[in-house]
Amino acid sequence: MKNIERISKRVGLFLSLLLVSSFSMMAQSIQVQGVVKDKSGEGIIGATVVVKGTANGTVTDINGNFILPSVQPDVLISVSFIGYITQEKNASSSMEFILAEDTKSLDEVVVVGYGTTSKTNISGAVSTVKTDELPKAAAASVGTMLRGRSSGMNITASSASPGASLNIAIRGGLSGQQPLIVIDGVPQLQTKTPSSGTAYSGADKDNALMNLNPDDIETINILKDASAASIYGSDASGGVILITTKRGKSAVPEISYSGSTAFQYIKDVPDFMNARDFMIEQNKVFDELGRGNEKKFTQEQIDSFVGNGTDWMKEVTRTGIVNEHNLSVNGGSEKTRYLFSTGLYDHKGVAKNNDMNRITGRINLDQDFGNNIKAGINTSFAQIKYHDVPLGDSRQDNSALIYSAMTFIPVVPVYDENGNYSDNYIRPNIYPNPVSLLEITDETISRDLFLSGYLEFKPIKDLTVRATGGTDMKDTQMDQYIPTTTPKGKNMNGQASKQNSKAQMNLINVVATYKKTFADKHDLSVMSGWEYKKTSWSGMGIVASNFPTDGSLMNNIGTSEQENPDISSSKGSNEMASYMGRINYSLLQRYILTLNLRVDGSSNFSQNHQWGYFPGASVAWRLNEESWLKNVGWLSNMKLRAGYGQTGNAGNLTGINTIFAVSRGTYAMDGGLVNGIGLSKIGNPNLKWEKLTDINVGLDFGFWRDRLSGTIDIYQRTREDVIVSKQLMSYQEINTIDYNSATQYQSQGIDLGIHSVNILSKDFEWSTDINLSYYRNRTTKRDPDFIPEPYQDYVEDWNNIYGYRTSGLVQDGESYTHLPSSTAGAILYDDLNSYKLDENGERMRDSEGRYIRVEGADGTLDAVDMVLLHNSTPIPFSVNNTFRWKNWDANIYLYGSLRGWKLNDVQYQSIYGVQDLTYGVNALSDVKNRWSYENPTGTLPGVAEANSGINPNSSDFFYEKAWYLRLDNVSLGYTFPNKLFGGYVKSARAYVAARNVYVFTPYNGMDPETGNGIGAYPNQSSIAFGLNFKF
Amino acid sequence: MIKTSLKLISSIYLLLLIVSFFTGCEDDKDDIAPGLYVEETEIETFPGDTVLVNGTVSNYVGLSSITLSCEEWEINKIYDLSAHKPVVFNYYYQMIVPQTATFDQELLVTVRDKNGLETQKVVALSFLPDTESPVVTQGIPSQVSVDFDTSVESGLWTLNMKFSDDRELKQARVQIPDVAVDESYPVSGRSGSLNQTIEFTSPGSFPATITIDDASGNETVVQTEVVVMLTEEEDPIQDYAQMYVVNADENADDYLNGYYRYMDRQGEYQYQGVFYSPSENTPVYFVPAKTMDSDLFGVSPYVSSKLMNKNGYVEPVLLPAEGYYGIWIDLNTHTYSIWSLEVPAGTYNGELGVSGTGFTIGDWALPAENMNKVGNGYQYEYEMELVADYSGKVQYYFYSPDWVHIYRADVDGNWWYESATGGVVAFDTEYAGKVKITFDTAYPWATMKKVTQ
Repeated sequence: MKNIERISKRVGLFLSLLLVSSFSMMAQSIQVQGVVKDKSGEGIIGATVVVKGTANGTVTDINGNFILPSVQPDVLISVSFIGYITQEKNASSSMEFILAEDTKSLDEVVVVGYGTTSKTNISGAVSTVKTDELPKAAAASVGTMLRGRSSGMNITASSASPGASLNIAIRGGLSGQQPLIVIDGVPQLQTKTPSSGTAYSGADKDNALMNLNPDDIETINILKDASAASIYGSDASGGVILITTKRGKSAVPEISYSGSTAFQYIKDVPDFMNARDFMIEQNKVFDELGRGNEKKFTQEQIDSFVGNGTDWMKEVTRTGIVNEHNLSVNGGSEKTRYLFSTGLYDHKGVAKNNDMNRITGRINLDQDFGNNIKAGINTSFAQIKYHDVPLGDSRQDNSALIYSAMTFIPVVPVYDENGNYSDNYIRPNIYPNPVSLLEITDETISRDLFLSGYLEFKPIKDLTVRATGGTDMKDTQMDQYIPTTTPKGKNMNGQASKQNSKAQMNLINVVATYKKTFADKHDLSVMSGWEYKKTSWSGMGIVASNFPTDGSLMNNIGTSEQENPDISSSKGSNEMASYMGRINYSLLQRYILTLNLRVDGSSNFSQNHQWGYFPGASVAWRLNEESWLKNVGWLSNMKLRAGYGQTGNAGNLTGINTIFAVSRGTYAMDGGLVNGIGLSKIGNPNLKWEKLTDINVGLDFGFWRDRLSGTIDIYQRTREDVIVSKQLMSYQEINTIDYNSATQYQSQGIDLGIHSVNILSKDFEWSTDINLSYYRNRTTKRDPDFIPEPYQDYVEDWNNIYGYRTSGLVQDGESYTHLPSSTAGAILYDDLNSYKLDENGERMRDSEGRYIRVEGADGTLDAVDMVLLHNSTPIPFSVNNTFRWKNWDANIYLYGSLRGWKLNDVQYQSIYGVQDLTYGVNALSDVKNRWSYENPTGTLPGVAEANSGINPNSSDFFYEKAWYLRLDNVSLGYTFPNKLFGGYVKSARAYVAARNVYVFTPYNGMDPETGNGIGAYPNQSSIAFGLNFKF
Repeated sequence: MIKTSLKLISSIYLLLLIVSFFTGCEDDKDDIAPGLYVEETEIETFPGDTVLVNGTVSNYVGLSSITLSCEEWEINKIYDLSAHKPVVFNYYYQMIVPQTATFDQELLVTVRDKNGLETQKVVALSFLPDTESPVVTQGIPSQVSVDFDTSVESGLWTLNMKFSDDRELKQARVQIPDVAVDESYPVSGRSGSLNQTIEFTSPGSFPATITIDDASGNETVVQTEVVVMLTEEEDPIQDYAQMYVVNADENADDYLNGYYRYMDRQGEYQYQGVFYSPSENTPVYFVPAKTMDSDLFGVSPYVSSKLMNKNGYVEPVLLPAEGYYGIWIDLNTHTYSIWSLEVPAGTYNGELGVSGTGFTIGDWALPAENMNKVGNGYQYEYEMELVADYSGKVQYYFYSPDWVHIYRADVDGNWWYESATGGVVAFDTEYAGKVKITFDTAYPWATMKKVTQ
């Protein structure tokens, strides 16, 4: 803080000197000297003082003093400072400004579920993200933009491909559920894109936030603890994200346009061997395997090779382009307010033929009918078209695009002399030519129609009754065709798949809210409501093969000559009725109490356990409003909060919990396998709700008029009655049952968010936001029949990585009793422990049923030798810097994790599979550093490892530190002066932004955050250019 | 202010740096001539021969063509690569040497890149004298049996052979000195066959020699022994519903389950199955029912290729080496064939457990340990104990600890398969005590054998 003061002082002095130096030139003017104070008499540092209507101005020094030279005597001096009401006075040589707090701006409205409250009256753990502050270029989903933007919310992408699904874990994701997303008061229907049912699939799709145009969002509030989220009961175990979209304003119509174009470049492609290295290393591997007579390449052939061979990654990738255009109109009269918006987001991914195109539209309309009745509708539509490429790390004929591109033999061209796709001539008809996979047609169209409306009635002054009805309708059609030009398609003579799914959620709720302030001391808000929700879904699909021609793709599936095509269909529904209530009471705006209760009844449970009760309670104490702190000038906010709450979880139950399923080809009758119908799950009438209980203690603080402010929360979350699907130890066909396990999970953590305004002057501003989360998820209780492994604690942390310790490699001449199959070059796993035996030589168990281990080698490598290697729970953090200099603005955003351990999967797969070089399968260049008799100093395992009988991913050998710091956004913008456009344009801004610029990490794999292993979609860096206009 | 300006300039510089970082520059390799590899630079051949000229061409910038030319042999083959301009290309040029070809010629291979740079290599073409003998493509066994019909005092041997030569065949000669057969049959071209019926008028053993000659005087000699004998007496055979293959080295009474390995009926009198041979020369018999005291098929003691049904008379078929074998038998034509099988790709070989009913650990309980992996890595064994006086049927199945792989069978234990749902093998036994259970995931099969010591 001293630095901030020093910088402000210097800037103030500098500007003062600058102004003083020009004073002599303005003989007819006066010098204005003054002070700016708050109502307690403390000088305000950094307040902006300007001569109204001019650029002549300064900022106050550390004592609140200012000097304005060369001021005309009849002008107005305007003083402004964040959180205070701007004040203007006629200029005089000595002036004093006492600024009053702008309680409206300080006390912003926060959406808390079935209503709003003032930020002052919040007593739970709620954070707010303003989307204006998020860099939108080259990001389709608001989920992507939210990465690191709120402490306690960790967002990871399943893949770097366009539109890939996100995993949003609020406070460690202990519930195993994704957060409930509520848009304008109506929960969003959560669906999954249907599976193709074939060997190939694209990345999992983001079905949560992708349908929403980020440009339509006004604010996002995140209910992190159960004291706040319990109002959503059983749907809120994963936390709640409340999204409020923009609405019309009572003003003349305003037209907004934002557009950007971004170019995407592949980042961090693993270094696979070029053709020459491939040939050399393949020959060496043959030698190392004692099969030198099988070499495929002569030395002359290698010597005469020029170039690098075919770069398959280059053949299947390109520069990605993202184009985005958003147009909105908002305005209205005193009674009517409207907002129309439409958006186009078109993403050509870095993999060829991998596209995503989204069209969105929105109408938000509010109408007042007299003084007591108000109604409105929110309508949005989104259509997303995906053209996917096969992804994944399956092998051989199932190899997908990126996997093939990384591993396909580099010494053949794309096409042979006849224009057909070249094959791996060392092992033909197995591995698909990567470019041939681009001929796979894989199209998904997803449509989402979201309709909601409300009717609000004020029967008496302080009582509001609001009825909301909403429906979310989603349908998805997925079409795929695998042509005969791929090995997979050739084997099946073409394969087509058509899958569709439909889902609908209907909701209605009625909420009455009574808000009144008594005697200027007691703020009371009471909310009571009822809600009914029904979700239904259906789908069908067909997968067929053996087509007379590839020409029809999947569009004439009846021409399939397959005897029994795979046809499926499904349908289901569930219903939930709920009652909810909340009391929010504030005394003197100092002592705050909030009580929530939600009662949910679900059709997923039997009548005895149908209803779940989810209470929440929180208190807050605003210390800075106490008389003994009120006059401490440097303290602008100090709120202590404590909360307790419960949410529920219906596990992954879908509809009825006894499910009949048709199993095909799994019954042996009369000498052959036949299709049949079997009961695959037993219903459990004793099944009840999972419960999650939160305890949260938090502190909101602000110093120096919130120049430095922040929030710190400490929490504990406990998950009990966990619903799991248990495999019965029976040969019976019915071998699964859902039950409430005795297992208990617990999460403890700290969320920290800091906002600082480092420099605030008329021309230059610099603010920084820092978020940090630390949490620890643990399993604290087990089912009675759980027997821990010898290396496992009864109470253990999540994300523990267990495995063998290693001591380098087995060297020439060495042999180890505990590694009977490991020869020179294999990993030297440590034989650390042995089983404790009784007098009969039987292994002894402890009271938890676990085998007792004792230190000391026993000549056998087994489970008892495994130890806790690492814990990979991340410690997410972010640093956001925003700069403004006159009309220029800039942003530098970094986020990362202070901890992480991750398998270097690309290296592991390459090394472990190095023998596949003999089949013509390419590998990472790292394999050149493998141990061999020719290279005894090699630090990576040699060909012997694959014969050791031990999988190295069960050891520490390929694990690496994976903390990281990602420079995610660097942007520079310029807002054009309005006068340039002669008043026709309200504002215009141009910007350039670089996304995912660099990652600082010790991890040598593909990416410490997303993507892993051979076949992962490569990460991209982007450079975007954009324009924003308001007319 | 100065600091701010510097920060702005730094930001712009950083942006430029980022842009240049992404766009990058490729090394300039335009002036490097293409690489050309020819696998055989000296080819010895002859008129009518098929010659392959192949190799690899490569460069940095993209190739435009490969030309193979030899004016004397009227060869001018051009690979036009200008459409795709690959950076590597493997060429395979196959040609038939003209009958009128003159030798000691040169074939010129020229590769040209898109910038016009060329690399050339010469392939020398010279004459190759014929030293290769004909090859028998469909032979005859070293011993063949011929049934002697006493009613007509005659036995007929139908000789069927196919053979080929890399250039030109000339004749096939059949010699059976003991019956004064010495016949030559002219053949021509590169492939030929011999289809002759030879009559024997008395039983006995007759050495026979077949000689195949090519036009250059190279010859291939095939010898066999024709055993002419009175028809071997065989027990009546049926078109059984199924057959079983059994290990003749093992005792059927030692097994409670799995000794008789099921063979599918493939057609009339034809059956196919799989068997694992644990060692070299594993003897196997074939039986139609789960007993060794009824019909039993093996091979004739005199002719090892002749499959016949004669319990106590026939000898077992030998599986030559350790490993999996496919077996096909035809009872009616007295023939069989065996072939080696690879372990199917993706076969599970992780941890495996066994559970069931009738065991002392309790019905459907899971043993504390998994099965022990033995043999080739896909085989497992585990000892358990059967309960005395167990009233129900003994049943068992196998599972991986994560329950992803579950192996089940039909109730008779004829088919084992991987499936999450389905039944299990079930059988009655009065045996109580220790048993060794084995399972093989490669070609799923389970056995339960008594442990008697």
